[in-house]
Amino acid sequence: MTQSTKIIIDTNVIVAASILENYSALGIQIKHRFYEQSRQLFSIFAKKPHEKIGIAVPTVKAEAFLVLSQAVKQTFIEHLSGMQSIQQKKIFYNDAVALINSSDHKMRYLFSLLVHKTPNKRYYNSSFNKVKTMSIYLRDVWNQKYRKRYQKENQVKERAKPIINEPKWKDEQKEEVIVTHREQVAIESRQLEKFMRKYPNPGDQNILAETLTIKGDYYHSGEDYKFYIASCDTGFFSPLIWHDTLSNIVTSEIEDRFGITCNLPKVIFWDVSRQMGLL
Amino acid sequence: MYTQLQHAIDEDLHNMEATGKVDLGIIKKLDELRVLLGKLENKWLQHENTDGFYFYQGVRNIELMLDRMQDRFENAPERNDNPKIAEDSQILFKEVFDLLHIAESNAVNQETINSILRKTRDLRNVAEKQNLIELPSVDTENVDKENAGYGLTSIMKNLDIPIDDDPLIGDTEYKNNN
Repeated sequence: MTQSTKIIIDTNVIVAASILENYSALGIQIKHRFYEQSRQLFSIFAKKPHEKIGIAVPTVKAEAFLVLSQAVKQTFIEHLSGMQSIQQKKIFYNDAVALINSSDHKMRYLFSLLVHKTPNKRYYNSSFNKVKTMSIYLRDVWNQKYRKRYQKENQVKERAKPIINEPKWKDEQKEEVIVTHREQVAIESRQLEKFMRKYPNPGDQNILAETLTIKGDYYHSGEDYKFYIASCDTGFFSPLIWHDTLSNIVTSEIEDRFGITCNLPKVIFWDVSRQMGLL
Repeated sequence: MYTQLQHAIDEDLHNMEATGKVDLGIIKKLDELRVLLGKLENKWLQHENTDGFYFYQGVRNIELMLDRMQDRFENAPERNDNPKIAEDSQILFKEVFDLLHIAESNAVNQETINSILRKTRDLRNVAEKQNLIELPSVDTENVDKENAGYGLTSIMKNLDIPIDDDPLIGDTEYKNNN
């Protein structure tokens, strides 16, 4: 029998799924670039409301409006030149508020498709400590492996070792393998750089600790679910894709330690739809 | 700045609840409040830093809610909305004046920005519960059709959760689609 599924929605996914505006009079459409795949994931919750698959954790509920407001302000208002008159500025500010509010209305509908779970306080602190330990491990162990150029080169050599010493392989083939490993190490190093830039990333740490506690709460009441976290930013929960290369150092660590699969909404959509026979 | 007006509005709403009758005299007080909101909006429009937007946003939301409130007061007898509108308004006004207290301050820093954003979110949550949130159609109508064009166009491709300028997750897909 297939294990039933629960999907935690990261803040950026619900924000992405709420940003679509058609201003037909202006011939303009504003759409978040992850809109389609985020909406696609919500379509499962709308189709199967009784299965209560999608979950909103408290941190996401608390920060969604803030993230939405900051995103619109940073992309909209910060590009205004200093030459604007107060009257023009008022028009821009009102447009930005209208866009935020309109997206907020959509977000409220999307939240209504999710189950709102409050994690058991007794276990939350222990979950948070586990998450913190993982973050420190990534910072101190993984991150150290990639800090210097020679360390990166050592990583490449280490990975290419089995091929380099293989007499049957031609030099060009060996070179190709080295180039591939070098690209992979470069993107992994880049992901760790991003991870460190946001470190300790209290928002994502909270979301992961809440997810872990909720997973445990279900387990203790006799319900064992496969857990996903859907995300589309560069925090803890999505792999980094760059020039068709993928790095999942952080997400693999989460999967290994906590049994929670983190990925892009579209990947989770296909995975879960297949499991549920929706395709 | 608002204490006197706050008491006057509160008294009116209490009386309406007690008598079960809507007194349209409250509209005048809502107009007085609008004047004060306009002054606050101007203050934040003139602020040197674009972070003033967050404070403007909070005040603008109150303005939109007052429009909805006025509509409900004016149409209360026909819609049997009496004294429910008085009760709903009383609950909302507590949040309104809390927000105005923050918007009046001159301190713009991460703490006050977070505080005004949280207050605006809470205000919208209460307004939704009390049926005083602006209708979605109002937001679309409020976009200035003639002047906003170039502003909206410029953000079409930028509207993302801001991280940094590097090519990141999903960029491959983004480039393929554009």
